[in-house]
Amino acid sequence: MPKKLAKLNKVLFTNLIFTIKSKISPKIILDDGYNNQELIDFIIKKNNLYSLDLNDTSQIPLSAIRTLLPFAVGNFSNTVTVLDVGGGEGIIIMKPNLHLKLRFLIGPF
Amino acid sequence: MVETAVKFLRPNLELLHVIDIQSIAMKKFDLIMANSSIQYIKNPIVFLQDLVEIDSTYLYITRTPLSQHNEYEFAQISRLVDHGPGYLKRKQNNELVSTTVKVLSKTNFESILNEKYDIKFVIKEEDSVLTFGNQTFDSYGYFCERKR
Repeated sequence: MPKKLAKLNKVLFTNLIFTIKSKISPKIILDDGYNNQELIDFIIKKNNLYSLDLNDTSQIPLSAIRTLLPFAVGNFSNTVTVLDVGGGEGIIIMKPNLHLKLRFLIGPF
Repeated sequence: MVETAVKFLRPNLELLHVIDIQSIAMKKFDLIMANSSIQYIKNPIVFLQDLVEIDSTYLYITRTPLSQHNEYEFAQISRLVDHGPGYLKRKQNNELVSTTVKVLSKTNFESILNEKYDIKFVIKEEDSVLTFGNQTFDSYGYFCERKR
């Protein structure tokens, strides 16, 4: 990935993570890397929603932007109950502060 | 996949695994996420209708290939190692697997969502993510909020 884009992504992720932390303070574990320019463009358009925190050097991979998007744009309380339809690139979002009370994974696939 | 997850993940009272949607139909959800999964379900239309009926506050569907008009069903050939993290024997790394994929029409897909949800935004996520004959399919993401 070009350096400029990587830097931009990092900033966008940082912003997104910051927003989510400020809303629901999750501990987030993600796997897999993923890039998606249109999703990133969307985040850029919505950039006024996010506070900038360049000090956060989170190593969360690019797939985060897709996974975390609903948490940034949705209006959640500090207890979120998620139904995750199995498949796709895995995410695990659990405890301690997010209080995802139940995360159902359904299948079979 | 669900059975495997149950077998290998550490027990967690906050993480439950179920194999059918009916068993959780009475639960309340804030968010339903479906990441590259609906196209692999045996009957995606019925499944999508069931998801909508669950009445979650938000519905987020991503990495879902859709066609502009018709519906398609075909075999998707991919490397097993590309299906995600997990233990594989070395000789399995390049093993090819065939998975049945069902591509719904965008119009039909959105009409089901619109029954109970406002589509807050749609993103065309990737061009030509699947190919079948001379047809190519783009993948889309939807973020929806339940109608009040």
